Amino acid sequence: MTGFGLFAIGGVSVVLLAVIVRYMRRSMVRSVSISALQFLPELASARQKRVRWQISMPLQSPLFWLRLLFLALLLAALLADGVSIHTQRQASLGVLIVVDHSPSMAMGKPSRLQLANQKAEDVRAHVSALKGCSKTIAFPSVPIGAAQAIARDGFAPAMLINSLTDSLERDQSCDWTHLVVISDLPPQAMLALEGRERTGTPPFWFQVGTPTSNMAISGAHFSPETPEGRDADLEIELEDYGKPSGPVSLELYGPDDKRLDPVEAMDLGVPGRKRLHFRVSEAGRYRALLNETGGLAIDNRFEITLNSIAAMPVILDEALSQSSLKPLLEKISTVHHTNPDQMSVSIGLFAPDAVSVKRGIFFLQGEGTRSSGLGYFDGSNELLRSVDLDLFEKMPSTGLKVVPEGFKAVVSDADGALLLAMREGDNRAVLMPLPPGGFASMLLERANQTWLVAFLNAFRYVNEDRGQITAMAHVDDTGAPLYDVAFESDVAKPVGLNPQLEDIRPVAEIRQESHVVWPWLLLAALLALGLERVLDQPLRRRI
Amino acid sequence: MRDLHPNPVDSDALEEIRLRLRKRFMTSGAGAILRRKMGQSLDYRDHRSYNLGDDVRHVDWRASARHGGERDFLVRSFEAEEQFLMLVVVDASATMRAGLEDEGRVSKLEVALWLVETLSVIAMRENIAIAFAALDGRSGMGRPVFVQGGQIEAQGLEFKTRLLSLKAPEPGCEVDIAPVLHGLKQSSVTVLISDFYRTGTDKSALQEAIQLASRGFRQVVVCELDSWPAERAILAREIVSLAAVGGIAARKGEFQASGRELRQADAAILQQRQSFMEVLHLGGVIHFPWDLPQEGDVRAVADDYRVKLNDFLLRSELFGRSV
Repeated sequence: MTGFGLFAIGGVSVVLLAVIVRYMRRSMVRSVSISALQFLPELASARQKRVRWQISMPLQSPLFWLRLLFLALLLAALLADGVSIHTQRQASLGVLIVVDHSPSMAMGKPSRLQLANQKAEDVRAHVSALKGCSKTIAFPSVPIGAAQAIARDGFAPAMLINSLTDSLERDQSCDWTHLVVISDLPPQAMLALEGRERTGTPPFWFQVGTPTSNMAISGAHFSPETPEGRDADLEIELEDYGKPSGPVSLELYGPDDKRLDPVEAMDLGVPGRKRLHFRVSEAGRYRALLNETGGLAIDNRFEITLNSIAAMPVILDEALSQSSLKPLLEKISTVHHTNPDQMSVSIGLFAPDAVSVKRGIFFLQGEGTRSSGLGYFDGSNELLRSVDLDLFEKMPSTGLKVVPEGFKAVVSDADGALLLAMREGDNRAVLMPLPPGGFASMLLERANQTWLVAFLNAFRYVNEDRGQITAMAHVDDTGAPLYDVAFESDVAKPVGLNPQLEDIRPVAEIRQESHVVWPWLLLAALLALGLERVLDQPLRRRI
Repeated sequence: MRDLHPNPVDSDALEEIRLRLRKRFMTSGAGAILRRKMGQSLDYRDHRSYNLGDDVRHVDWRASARHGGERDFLVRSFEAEEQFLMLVVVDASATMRAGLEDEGRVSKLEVALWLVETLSVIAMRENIAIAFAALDGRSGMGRPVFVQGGQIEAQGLEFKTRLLSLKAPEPGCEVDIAPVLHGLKQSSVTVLISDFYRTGTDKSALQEAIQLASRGFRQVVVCELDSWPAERAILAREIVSLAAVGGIAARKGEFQASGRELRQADAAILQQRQSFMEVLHLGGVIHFPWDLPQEGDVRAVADDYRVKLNDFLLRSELFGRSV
């Protein structure tokens, strides 16, 4: 027992003793008001005993018991420092059945969805036999009354987890103890649902359907044309799942609906991943169509929208061609410094006047007729993580207070110093102040290379060019984009081992809960005290 | 303060008393009861000595020659009739309140309020105008207003509430009642309920007020409440600590009165009561000593009230004169 507990017991004991003494001591003196007081002579003091002790007196008084109850509750409230209550819940069975309604469930005869519905019926019957409750929901959700309908898009496992979590929390119609998922997908990791308070067991995953061969367009890749003369290239990637059951062909249509032929013909019946290359010459929307028989159809249409065909090379000025800036630029863009006639963008000293030169202001300048892009950033380049226009605000100004002629300010700091300026028109250009420590330090210190990344991206920003491919998606026959189709394509997966229905049985959940009891005890003590106060006068008169 | 004890006389019993009184007393007939007073009319009342200012036309020369002295003329006096107005005055002194806090006792003020309630009911049923006044300058009730019929109940309730809301004066402080007494309205009958424990200037004012009220053949009924027998029994029986009573400070210590001390108190109280006898025995003043029973508990006082109420109403002749 803690020191506080001993102190509380001691304090309450003293008060209790005082209460008992108070009740055992019965005064024999009556306080009375005599109307004839003014006519009374001086009275002699009483000589008899004025107090009578009666041991049993406290037991006769309801007030004593009320005060005793108050003290006992008060003591209990002081000592109750959190009480753990083990709650043994009655065995219960509540099964939430989730049936996959994604497009791949339409495969087969009978369809996978029909098989899934039959399995759901079996589970429901099993649960009913065990006097449990169950509910079936469709995922992705389909309109009410269309139980056999198939959703338009596919689904990602993360969506399933989110939806189930939501259903478990919102739906209070049953005390959910089990989750059953019926799908053509193999069991997915449902870690987000495991260990939840109301579902004591991991989800039961039933896989339905038989393997089906399928080929799908899995993606595209674009390589812009280069100053050396390499043509722009569009690569379409195909993935196969199982051996194709019939002839397969791929068609690609350009922006003018003209069909394009691949650079090299390829036998699409060969197993494994296949990449077909097409030479493209203009920006716009390209449509790929995969013709196959027996496979899933929704992954056979693909659209790619190209914003530009060419990449903008960066040409280093002669003064900088030997600096350490060169290897950096080579990592993030196409760099040329040999043929100035083909310059599209040059890096050099910005020298509209002698003052600017003295301050060491650099700029990128786009030239030529097709200055629509500045390099192409590889997706794995770590410098891309720094690409953010917010960087501009973090860069200290070196005092460029006046916007040069032809430029307009884009970003300024709180003091009005220029952080970013741009020039539009045929000679597009970006101005930024010198990085901290000067240009030389920027080239030497890796931390300052973000300045350059920001600089390049600022140029791309003002040129409205953030990348060549602006859209790439599976579409339906009307051209509307489809989502999460990638998860649908693999319909050739082998059927896994399904759990046994008998494993779904009622569970008795044992929970250990810690209840804070002292406020309730204190409330009860206060109620006892209030009752004692209310009854005090009437009972005292009766006594 | 505790709740007041209920009136021991219920409505049925009171109605029975009222009807019995009507049979006992001759009244002027149906409707409002008229009371006689000295005044101008053709109803001869008696002869009296001539006073300065009397109308010489009222001198009865023949009677004066026969019965009067050489300079003593006799004049005829006449009676007039007026509406019955009953003024009930309750002494709200601290001595009347003594015992009001004690659940087991009945204070004199409580008995007075029972009486007020009883008179109110009778007045309402007899269609008599009645007014209430408290002998306490702090009552804030102003001059009493005579009301009749259905207004009586509300007036009586307000009077009772105001009376009970007054606190006894602190020890050493007294409340002058003279202004209240002088502000009382003339009435046919004045019922004064008091224990007559007032002393000093209050005592003189009270005596003067009784004299004034009885002038002109008007009737004054004095109900003298005496709780000393019950208090004496407490003092003789128990060890007591004596609380303050109004301006009289509490006594320090615990006492048990001896026989000799109680006899001294008897004598002092008797002397106080006798000092009022001169005015209480005036013509037109009906004095009714109301001694509360020695037992002093609620039941004994209630039983005693039922008996004494009947006697009080008979002797006070409030609703007529006996045959």
